[in-house]
Amino acid sequence: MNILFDTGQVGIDAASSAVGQVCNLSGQDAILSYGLTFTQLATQWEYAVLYLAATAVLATVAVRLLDKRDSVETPQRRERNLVATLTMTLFFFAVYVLARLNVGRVPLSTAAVTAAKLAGSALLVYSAAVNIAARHVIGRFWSDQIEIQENHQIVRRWPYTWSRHPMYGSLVLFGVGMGLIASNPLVAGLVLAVFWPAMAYRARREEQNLLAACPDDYAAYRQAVPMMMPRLAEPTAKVIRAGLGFMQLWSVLFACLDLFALSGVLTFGLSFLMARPDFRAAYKLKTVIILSFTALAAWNPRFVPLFWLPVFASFMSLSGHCPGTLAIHLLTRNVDAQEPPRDESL
Amino acid sequence: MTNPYESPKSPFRPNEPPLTARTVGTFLAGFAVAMMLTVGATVISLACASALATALPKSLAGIVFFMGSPAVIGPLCSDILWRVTRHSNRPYAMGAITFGVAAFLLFGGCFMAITIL
Repeated sequence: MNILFDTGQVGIDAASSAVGQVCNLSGQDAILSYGLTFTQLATQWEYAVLYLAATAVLATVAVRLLDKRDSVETPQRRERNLVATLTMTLFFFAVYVLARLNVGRVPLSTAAVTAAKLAGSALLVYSAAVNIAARHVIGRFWSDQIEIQENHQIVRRWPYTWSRHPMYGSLVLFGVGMGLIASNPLVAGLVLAVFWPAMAYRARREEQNLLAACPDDYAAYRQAVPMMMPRLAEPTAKVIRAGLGFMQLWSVLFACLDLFALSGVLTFGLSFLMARPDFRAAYKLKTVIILSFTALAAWNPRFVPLFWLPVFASFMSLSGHCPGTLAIHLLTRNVDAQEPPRDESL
Repeated sequence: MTNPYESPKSPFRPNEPPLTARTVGTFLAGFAVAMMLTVGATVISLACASALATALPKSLAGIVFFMGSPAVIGPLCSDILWRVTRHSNRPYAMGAITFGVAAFLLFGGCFMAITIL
């Protein structure tokens, strides 16, 4: 260890490598291989985005926790819940370690990896911004455990106009973003299979307490606003659909099957977030079509030209309609037309 | 030449930053001071740790070194700054806390997490 100091390295490098040696990890970056080294931050820009986003979110959490520590206000009602700041943070650290150790990583082409990194980074920045804004807007009503304060009110400012629990929804999206930047379906799957239900459980417990505290107000709010995931406004959805269209175009031009499959997975994710119900239904159908075409092309490359159909549909959707939505409108109109006329004489 | 019968006026400062820019500046100042405090404290703590490490078993020496790293010293320094300035200068205190979190994550916070797990 003394040799490390003699070589003139800065203190932290010496400390980390010393701990690494003691813990039988490999080399100077041993301990920091689980964290982020400066070199990694410079070479892996997606992890720099993750680091900045996570720092921003955790800093706002730390400020709120410290405010609570100093506060003399006692809550009117308090319910302890296992799903709290510490367990959420530990879950994210655990999936981060999985991502860094490449457990569950899928080998993808360079184009697909770049697309996944871009999509994941956008998701990380967006979810961090929503999370911080929500924590700022909710103010003194934020708490680690479920608490009802004196004169508790329902906050209805943005982003609480998008969803009733934007902080939880944004954390789920943050986890999915982590999975995307690491090209790791296991990470995204764990977030969706474990973290999302845990968040939903916590949100339901909170809602029961809020309904007891402000019954009329919260019931009206619950009727008007979705639970966790925000609904994207049409202009934002158009931009994302255009991005998916470019991904699909690239995969046709360069016969990149994994990029096309990734666009299918992202299409499925987008189908839950769009505000328009016709697009939500059409994009679920489109996911099935994209994944079927990918399977066909993997079986026989002669089917690659079929990829032009989703490309056409994606760019057509910028006009406000795609073949799927048109079909839905046509079908619903026919159903309306087939309804028997009401007998007014009865 | 100044008029002695005229009441004094506040000086004109055209380059005075708006409130938001000043807040950001104060935030960054808090961040920077926490960083400098951490660097100083880390140098001292690592010097102590290296002196102790020769006399300790390997596993304990590792823990001592980790406790002296910015992952632990950074949050401690930022908490001290927070306690001192939270009422008088909140953006400054928030900058210090942000540095504490950044140092914790950058210097092995996840290592601690997997150790706990």
